[in-house]
Amino acid sequence: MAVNVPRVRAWASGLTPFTLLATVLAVGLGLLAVYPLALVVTRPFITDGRVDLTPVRDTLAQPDLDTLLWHTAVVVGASGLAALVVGAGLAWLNERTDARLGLATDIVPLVPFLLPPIAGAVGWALLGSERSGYLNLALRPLLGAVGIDLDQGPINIHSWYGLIFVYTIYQVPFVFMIVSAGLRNTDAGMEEQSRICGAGPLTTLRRISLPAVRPSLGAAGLLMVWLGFGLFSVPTILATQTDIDILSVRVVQLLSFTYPPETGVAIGLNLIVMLVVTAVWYLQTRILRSDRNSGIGGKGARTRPLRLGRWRPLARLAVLGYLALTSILPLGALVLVSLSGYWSSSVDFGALNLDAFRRTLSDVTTQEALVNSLLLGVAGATIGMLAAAVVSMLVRRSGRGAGLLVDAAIKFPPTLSHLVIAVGFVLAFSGAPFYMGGTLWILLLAYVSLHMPQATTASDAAISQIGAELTEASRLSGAGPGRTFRRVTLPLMMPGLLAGWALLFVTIAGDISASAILAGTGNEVVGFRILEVFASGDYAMLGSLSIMLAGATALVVVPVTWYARRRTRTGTPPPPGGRP
Amino acid sequence: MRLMNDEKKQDEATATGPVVRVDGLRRHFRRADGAITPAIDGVTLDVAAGEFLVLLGPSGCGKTTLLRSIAGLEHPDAGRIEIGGQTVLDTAARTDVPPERRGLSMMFQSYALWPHMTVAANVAYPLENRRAGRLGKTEIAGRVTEVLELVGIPELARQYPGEMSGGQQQRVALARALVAGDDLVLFDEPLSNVDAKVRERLRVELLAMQRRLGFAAVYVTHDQAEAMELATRIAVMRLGRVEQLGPPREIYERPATRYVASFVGVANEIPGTVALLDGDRAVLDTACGRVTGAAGAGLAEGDPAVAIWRPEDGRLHPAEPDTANRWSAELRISMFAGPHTEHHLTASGLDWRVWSGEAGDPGATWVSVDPSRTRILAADEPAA
Repeated sequence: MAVNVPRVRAWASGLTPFTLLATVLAVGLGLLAVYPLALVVTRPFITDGRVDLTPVRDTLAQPDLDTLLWHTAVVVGASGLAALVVGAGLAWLNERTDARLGLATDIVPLVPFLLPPIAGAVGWALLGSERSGYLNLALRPLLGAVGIDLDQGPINIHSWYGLIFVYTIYQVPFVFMIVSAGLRNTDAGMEEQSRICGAGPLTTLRRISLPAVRPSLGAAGLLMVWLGFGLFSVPTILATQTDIDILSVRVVQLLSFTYPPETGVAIGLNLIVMLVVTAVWYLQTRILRSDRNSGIGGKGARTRPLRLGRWRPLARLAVLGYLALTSILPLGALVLVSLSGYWSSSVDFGALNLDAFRRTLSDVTTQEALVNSLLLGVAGATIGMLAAAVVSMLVRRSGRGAGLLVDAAIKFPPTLSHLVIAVGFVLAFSGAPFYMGGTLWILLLAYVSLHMPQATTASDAAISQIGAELTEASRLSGAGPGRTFRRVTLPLMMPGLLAGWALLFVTIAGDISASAILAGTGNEVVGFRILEVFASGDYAMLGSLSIMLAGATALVVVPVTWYARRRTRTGTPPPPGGRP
Repeated sequence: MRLMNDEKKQDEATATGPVVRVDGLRRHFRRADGAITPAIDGVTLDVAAGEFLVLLGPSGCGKTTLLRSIAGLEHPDAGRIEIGGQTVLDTAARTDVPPERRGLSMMFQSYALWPHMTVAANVAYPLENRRAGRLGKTEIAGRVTEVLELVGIPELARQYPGEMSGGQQQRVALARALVAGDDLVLFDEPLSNVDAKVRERLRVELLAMQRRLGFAAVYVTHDQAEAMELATRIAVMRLGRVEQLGPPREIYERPATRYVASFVGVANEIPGTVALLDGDRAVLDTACGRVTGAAGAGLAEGDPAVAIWRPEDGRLHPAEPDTANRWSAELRISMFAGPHTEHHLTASGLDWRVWSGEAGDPGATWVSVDPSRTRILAADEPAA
């Protein structure tokens, strides 16, 4: 219809208490994200009111700076590339071929949430350690049968390939989610047209499908860099026993396990990460810009999936194999070590018992950590999603300008390393006038702020599916902005918000990177407790704690996700002709 | 109940002046490349009580922006809007009443039914929100039933919008627009998403309901046939301005400009130069010879102009007739359309259409048009 309508000045007419409150909330969240970051970036460089560049010099003077950066870059780069290939491949199999498994579509994106990466990393340490890894214990007799006798190996997870492998399997779901969405929004008719024009499946994939989802691949690649550099759980478990230096591990060592903490150097190291992330982000926007006019149809019509023929069982095996590698095997290892009571190079299946679980549950500190983590998960996810819904609504109403600025302020800082932001929260809130250091409040604030990008991404997606006319019709029916939000916008966003809530709950309850810096004996959480137990070498307790965490999150996430998906399915399709 | 007190309401409204008064409205948009384009470029019009005003024009003429400005969904740069005697927009005084306090209803092109609410809940919603004369639960339920019966879908009350056909959704949207009994109801191309048969039936019902309930309607469409059938007055819009405002018959028979003539209905054209101007009669020199017709505004002798006539006014003759405005032409093809046959003719490089009852044979023929049914208009741009 007529002219595409920018609602730039829509604020002016609707300055009600609700919009005012929403604006204050959005600006507050923006400050909460920007202020700690500003502190962290400036504080080390200002001593007694004068600019002091010592931390930069210290950082650059780190004796092993080049190996540290090189090792990290290799692991992040290699695992990112591998995850792109595997994730995009799985997505393509699922969206476009007859190898699709309904089950896999539902489960693959949930894998890192059902079994948090920290638990997965512990699981893989148990599976793949050179001497007494369970996989090695199982493989060696088989190899012996064909005449190869080994004392250790053949697998060593504490190695370059092991580290890259575990990084990869926990990065894949993010690529899978993004590329699947991209494929779903790309008209499969383009591919059918290509087939009719005489191009085979592979040519079509190369010439049509991949270029069409290039924006998704770009976004996924950027995410790989962000997540890769920030990932702390996997390397802290797997890399500390090798000579591979990973930046996130070093930062935590400098901040939490060095006395006095070398904050300046830690931040200096993270500024390097910031530079890399910004460069990748710039590259990504360039990719996206050149692709602005690629023909992505809005409808995403269901078409006949590509027949794989004799490759089909193999493709399905790959999907199931991925699920086994990420979930079933590590979970099995965790269960086995918990039931054994300790980790040894032989498993006595007759002596399995529940002692380790009892020991874990009766441990006061662990109890405290479990309760705190679940509480923080529920509170943080609820506050975060509600705030995100309000912010998305505001940003959409205000269009360009101030709204976007606030949006960027909320979204951008937490995409930097969580470790740095966590240090900012220490600087900002642990001392006067807040005195939140060592309390659950500082954790709650940090968790909410750190997870706003995920939360607002989920709520932006949810609100973008609600035609503007639905809210306009409510305004014309005499409902003000607050009432419209409560009666129309919020209920319609609910499935998307619930899915976002589940994601937030899991990442908060299982958080380990911010917790490594902000948690302590006064505000124990599961992530921090896992680090403590790992340091003490009690693998049975580590296993049972990981299983409890996975169990608790599954108990919350599965019903919520199931309900959200059901709501989306039975939920009514948007009416025809609705303006987006 | 207000729904039933139709006649009284109409009387009141007539006594207090127009339901809507738009004065000097302007709205500009900034395009992506930074250029500023006017969407509404100085519109002034009134809508009387009980009137059915149709805003008609092609895509991008500003009709929807004008409607949304009246609703309060769009924020004009300049101008005043009064609704029921109350100023709801005055850019000079920085008054801009939000849509929920303008006391009007609107039916959207997409129907904008809330998918998470039942039909009854959708229709009850406006009643729950109106502050003035707030109704109790049972009263609201009664009104909802009443209005659902009025639009012919009482059995759908407990259904969800996603479970219904497009035509049924449309009726729900109509019920929601009517339930509050407002004096003014806005329609944004509400019939463009259903098939032709349903559209025709809904048009008749809508008009009957509007006459019965007596609300003033402002209705946006790009379909000129729909506009003619529904309107008491049509405002033909072009590039953000009202090009002509009048009853459908006047718009059709006495279009003010070449643009209106070519947008509303089918117009046959003969370009030429004004040879003679005599009161409201003009004679045009054309490639087909002299053409006489009723003169439009703003003509001067020697100006380029266009003679315009409607297909149903053309007469076909096997031999040269003895009338004014007769032209020799070539009949290319005849198409039987049911009520009439459409004959396609060419003459001096011009394409014409003539609708008549008789069949025709391709070949040389003569056409004549009564000068009183021919209009001579300034040669500005036609509608695309």
